[in-house]
Amino acid sequence: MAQVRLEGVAKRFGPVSALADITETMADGELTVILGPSGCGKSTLLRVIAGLDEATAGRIFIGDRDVTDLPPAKRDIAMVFQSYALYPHMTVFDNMAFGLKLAGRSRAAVRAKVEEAAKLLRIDGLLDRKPRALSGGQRQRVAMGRALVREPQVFLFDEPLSNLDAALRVEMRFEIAALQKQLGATMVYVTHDQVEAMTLADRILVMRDGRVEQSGAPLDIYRRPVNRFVAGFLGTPGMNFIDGRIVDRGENGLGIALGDGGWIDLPLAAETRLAGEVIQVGGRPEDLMVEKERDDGKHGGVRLSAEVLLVERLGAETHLHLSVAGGRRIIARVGGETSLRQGETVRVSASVDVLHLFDVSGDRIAPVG
Amino acid sequence: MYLAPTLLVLAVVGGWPLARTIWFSLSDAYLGRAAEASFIGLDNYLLLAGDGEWWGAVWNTVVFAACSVTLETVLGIGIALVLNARFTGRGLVRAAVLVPWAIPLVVSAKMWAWMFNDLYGVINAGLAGLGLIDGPVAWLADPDLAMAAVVMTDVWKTTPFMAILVLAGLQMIPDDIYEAARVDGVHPVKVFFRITLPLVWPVLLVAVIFRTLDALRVFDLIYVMTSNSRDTASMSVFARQQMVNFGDLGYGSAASVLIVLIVGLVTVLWLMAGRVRLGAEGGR
Ligand SMILES: Nc1ncnc2c1ncn2[C@@H]1O[C@H](COP(=O)(O)OP(=O)(O)OP(=O)(O)O)[C@@H](O)[C@H]1O
Ligand SMILES: [Mg+2]
Repeated sequence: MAQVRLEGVAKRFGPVSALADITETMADGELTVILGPSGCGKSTLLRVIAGLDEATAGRIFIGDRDVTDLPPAKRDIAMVFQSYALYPHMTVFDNMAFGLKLAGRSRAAVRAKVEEAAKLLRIDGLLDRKPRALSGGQRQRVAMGRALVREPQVFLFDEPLSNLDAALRVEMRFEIAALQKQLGATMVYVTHDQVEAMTLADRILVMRDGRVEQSGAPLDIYRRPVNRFVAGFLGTPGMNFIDGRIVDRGENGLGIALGDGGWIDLPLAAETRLAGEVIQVGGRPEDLMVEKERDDGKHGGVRLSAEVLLVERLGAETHLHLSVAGGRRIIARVGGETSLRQGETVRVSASVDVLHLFDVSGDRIAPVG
Repeated sequence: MYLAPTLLVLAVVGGWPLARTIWFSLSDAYLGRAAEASFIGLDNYLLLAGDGEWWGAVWNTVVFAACSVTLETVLGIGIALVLNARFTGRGLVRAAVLVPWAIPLVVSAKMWAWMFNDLYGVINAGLAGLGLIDGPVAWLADPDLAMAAVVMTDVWKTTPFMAILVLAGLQMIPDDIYEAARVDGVHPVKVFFRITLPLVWPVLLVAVIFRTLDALRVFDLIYVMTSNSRDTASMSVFARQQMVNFGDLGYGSAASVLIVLIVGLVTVLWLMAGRVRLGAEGGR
C-alpha cells in the first residue's frame, strides 16, 4: 500500500478549468473521500490520479514514485467505475481474470486469485454468469472484485454506490468499509453523498469549483467548517444561516443583532474589532432548542422568536420549519415527541459555542465561542 | 384476421410474380408467346446444370460477392474506428464519407466506367502521369482487371454504408469499458479483438448478411460497367440476357429461381454460422 500525493495538480478542458492547483496527500492505508456538489471536479481529480485524464500541471506521486507521466496500467491502481464498466460479453470470472491473464500470469495463479476475491465478496457462486444476468449489487461486487485481483497500491472509486437502491447502498457501504479495514488498503472514494462521506471516510476533501475547500477528519469538518459553503454542504437538513450585525454595547460586551429583536450575546473574549461588521450566523438544526414562548429570562445567550410553519414528524425526531426575523426560514431538529404545533409562536435558543460565524465573503470568523 | 388484407397484398405483390416465375421455369415459355408455353418439368434446370456460361456467371458472382463484401467489411471497420475517435471536424467527415453511398448506383457505375476508360479515363491518365504504366490499360476489357474494376467500384460505393453501420455499433459500446481496459493494461490490439470486435459482432453479422445478399443479386453495377461481358456477368446479368436478349423466358426464369434459392441458402448458412460463433463466445 502507498500514499497518494498531489502537488499543484491542475486540469483544464480547453477554456474550462476543472481542477486548480490541488496539493493534497491521501495517507497510506486510509480511506479518503472526495466530496462535493455535481460538476466540482471530483471525477476529474480521480481520473487524473488514475491516469485516465492527463494533468495540465503539477505532479502526482503514488508511494515514492512520480507517476505523472505513466499510463494507468503502470500506476499500480485499480478503479471501480460508477457504471461498473464490466465487459458485457465476458463471464464474471473472465471480467475479473482478463487483466491478469493478459499480464501473463499462469492459469492456476489467475484462478486462485479470482476465486479468493470472489469468496471475499461472496460472488463465488456467480463466476459463470454474464453481467446482464446479475443484480445491481452483484455487478457492484464484480467491479470491486476486478479491482481486488489487481492487488493495487491504491483503490479508486467513482461514486460506486450511486446506482444502487437505498438499502443496498447502506449494505455495500458497510462492506466497503469492512474491506478497507481488512486489507488496510489506501482508497480514494468520490461521492456527492455526504452521509456516505461521513460514515466511510478517515479523511474528507470537500471540493468546490475545482478547488479543495477543506480537508480533514469528518467530524472536524462538521464541527469547524472553514466557510459557509462547507458548513452548508455537510449535514441534513443543512445548517441554518441568519444575517446579523455585530454590535458593541460597551460594558455589556459584544452581541449580534439579528433583526426583529433577535439577539445573541457574544462571550467577553470576542474581539471588539469585529464591531459593526455584517455577518452570517450558522446553526445546525440539532443545535437549536425550541420552546413555547415564555419570558423567564433564561435563553443561553440567544434570543430569537419564530413562528412554526410546518411540523415534520419522522418518528425518532421531528423537523420544525420555522419563520424567523425578516421572514427567513430555518429548520430545527427536535425530539420525536414534541408538542409544538403549526402556527405557534416559539422561542429559539442555542448555546453560543455551537454557533458558527461567517463574514460577508463566507469565511469562518475565527474566534467564536 | 387483421392480417388478412396485408397477407392478400403480399400475395399479390410478392407471391404472384414468384409463382409465375416458378411456372415459367418449368415450361418452354418464350418472350411474347408466354401463353402458349407448355410444362416441360425440370428440363430447364438440367440444361442449366450443364451450361458453362451459367456456371461462369455463378463463379463471377461468388468472386464478386466474396471480394467486395470482405473488402467493404474490413475497410468499413477501419473507417468506423477512425470516425469513432474524437477529432475536430468529425461531424463533417462523417457526412462526407456518406457521399458515395448517396449517389445513385447507375450514376456512380457510369462515372467509374468513364474513369476506367482506356483512352480518356482519368485513371489511366493519372497512372501514366505518375509513370506507373507505359500505355493505356484496358481496365474493363481485360478479364481479370474488369472484375477488379467492378469490385473496386462496389467497394467505393458501399464501404460508407458498412462504415456507418459499424460506427453505430461502436457507439453503443460505453467509453468506460475502454477505460477499464486501460486500467487493466490491455494492449490496444487486444482491446480491438477481445472487446470491440465481440461487442460489434451482432451489428457486423447483420451488415455482412445485407451486403452479401445484395452482392449475390448484383446486376446494375455490372451491367452498366461491362454490359453482358462473360468475364464479369453475374447470375442476374445472365438471367436477364436469357430472358430479354434471347427471349428464353423459361430458361431465364429457371436461373432466377436458382438465384433466389442460392441467396436463401446463403442466408440460412450465415445465420447458423453466426449463431454457432456467438454460442462459442458465450460458452467460455
Ligand atoms: N471531457 C471533458 N471535456 C470538457 N469538460 C469536462 C470534461 N470532463 C469534465 N469536464 C468539466 O469539468 C468539470 C468537472 O467535471 P467532473 O466530471 O469532474 O465533475 P464531478 O464533480 O465528478 O460531477 P458529478 O458529481 O456530476 O459526477 C465540469 O464542469 C465538467 O463540465
Ligand atoms: Mg463524477
